[in-house]
Amino acid sequence: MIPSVPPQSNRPESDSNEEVPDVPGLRTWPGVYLAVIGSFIVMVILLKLLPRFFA
Amino acid sequence: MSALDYFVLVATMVGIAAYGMWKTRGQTTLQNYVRGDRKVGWGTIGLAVMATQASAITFLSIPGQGFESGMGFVQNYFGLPFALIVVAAVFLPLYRRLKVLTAYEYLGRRFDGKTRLLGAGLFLLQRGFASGITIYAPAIVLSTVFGWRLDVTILATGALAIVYTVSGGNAAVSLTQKYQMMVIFAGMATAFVIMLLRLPESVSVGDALEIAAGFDKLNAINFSFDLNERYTLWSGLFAGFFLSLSYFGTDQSQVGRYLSGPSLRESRLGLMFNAVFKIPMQAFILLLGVLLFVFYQFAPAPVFFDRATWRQHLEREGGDSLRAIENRYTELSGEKRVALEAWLKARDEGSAEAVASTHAALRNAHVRSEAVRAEAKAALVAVDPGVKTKDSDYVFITFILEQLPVGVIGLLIAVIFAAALSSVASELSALGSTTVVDFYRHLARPGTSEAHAVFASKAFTALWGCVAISFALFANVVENLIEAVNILGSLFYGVVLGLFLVAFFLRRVGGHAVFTGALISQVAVLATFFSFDRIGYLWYNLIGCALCVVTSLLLQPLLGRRPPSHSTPVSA
Repeated sequence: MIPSVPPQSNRPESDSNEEVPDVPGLRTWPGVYLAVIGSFIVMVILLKLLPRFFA
Repeated sequence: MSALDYFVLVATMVGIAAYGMWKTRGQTTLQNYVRGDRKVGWGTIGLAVMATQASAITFLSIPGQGFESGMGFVQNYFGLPFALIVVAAVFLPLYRRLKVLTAYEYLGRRFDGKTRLLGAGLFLLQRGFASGITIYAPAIVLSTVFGWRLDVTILATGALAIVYTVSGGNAAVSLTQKYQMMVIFAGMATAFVIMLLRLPESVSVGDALEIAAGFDKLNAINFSFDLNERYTLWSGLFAGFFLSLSYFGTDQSQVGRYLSGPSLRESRLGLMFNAVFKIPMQAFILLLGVLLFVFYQFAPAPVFFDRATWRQHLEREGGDSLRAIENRYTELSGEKRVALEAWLKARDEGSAEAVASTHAALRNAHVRSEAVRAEAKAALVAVDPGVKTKDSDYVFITFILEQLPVGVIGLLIAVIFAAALSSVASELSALGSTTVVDFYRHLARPGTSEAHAVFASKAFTALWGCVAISFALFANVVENLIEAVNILGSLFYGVVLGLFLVAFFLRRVGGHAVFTGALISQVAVLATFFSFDRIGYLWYNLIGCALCVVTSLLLQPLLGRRPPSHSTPVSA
């Protein structure tokens, strides 16, 4: 379930580039971006294999 | 539709709009009105970004695309995750650091006033047109199917969006989008499950997917380098990257969504939510269309899915020829069903030879029935040259009306309206705020009070709503709705993106050079588009962007550098 207003959003406005993502298992933003790219590659592979699964 | 369906539809739409207005009432500063109260979390930002992009066209046209052409359209979105990463890493921190209200304000700070106005003007021009299509798309389909008056449907959709957008500004848009997306997810999942349940008992989900694969409908990835092919992995990755980068990085209807976050973290996570889930969502909607194709291999399918138009022409002169085609199609559909069952039986028995021969017979029957469908469209044009023959936008709505139970029909029509309203509201909010921030307050009334600025924002939002409704009333020249929006965007987005890339990464280029370069590039893009119809439209994003960057660089030595009017570092 997607949190509508997570607890973090009550903190004061922050625009620091140093702010950590605070995502389980991912401690830096480059790590988050790599995870996103990884999920994209998995999706492309699944889409490529989709017709073969059901051929 | 039954009274229960109408109740579900009206209660859902008006209820969400009223709740959004009530929760966001009393905005007193332009900052709050344009950016919202900055209390929303990443989940709301992520859903708002997704809702802004996913208009009613998404839920009407894309299942039809899946039905006709299979999964290939999903490649269009392959550049999106990479573009969102660039927006999150480069664009967003700059926008937030400079505390700009619109993306174009940044261009003014980096270059000069005229470049800001050019960027904002190009946005107003293309988004103003596109918002008309956003309203028109569901209205034309729903009015045709239900027999509603087109102008009344357009006015009702536009007026509801205007009322809550004007009332609550950006905060109301984001809040309502969250609930509208929930309605959309619930409705699409319900339609998907009911469709699977409506398949014949002997056909499992795996069988359905095997049938789809047998018709090449599951081929999602195309590695071809042919520029004339509309959807390939490369056009999606490269040209789609530029389209997405321009859309998410420079289109105020999106920039306004993620700038509403309380922190950089919330805004970034909202964007990453889309980077991860957008492609699966589009693939799911396309798969729904593919399974609709399988469904109509077993259920009687109309020869032309825009049944209202077909029926009208049956009654006119030349209707007999249409009826003959319809009868032939029904016969061929029966033959195709027999061939399909023979193929399934051969497959179950495991004889490779029988599978091959029955599959060949099935493909043959399919080719013949598709030829009759093409003949039906040609016959329609023969009796009425002005008729629109692309009926794929009517596939999903036909399924909704003929196969879903009472009450669920209302929910699915609410999905279409929710998607329309969520996009239109974002667009109107962005158009209104850009007009006030970049034109009215910047040029006409620089020292105006906050109260007056909020009033002006509301007035311009309402005015753009009226403009969008007017465009919608005259949008019937457009054949394929989703492509029309993408083509329109592609023609302008590339140059706007070029402006921003020069701003971020080419610090030695000044305002005169980039402004002139952008104008030349825009004219060149439009000239190329109207001269060569063989270039896939997605490539215009890349062409426009590259032209703008290159011409700016070439013109810089000639036109000289104009120093920025402030001391804040504004490049990446």
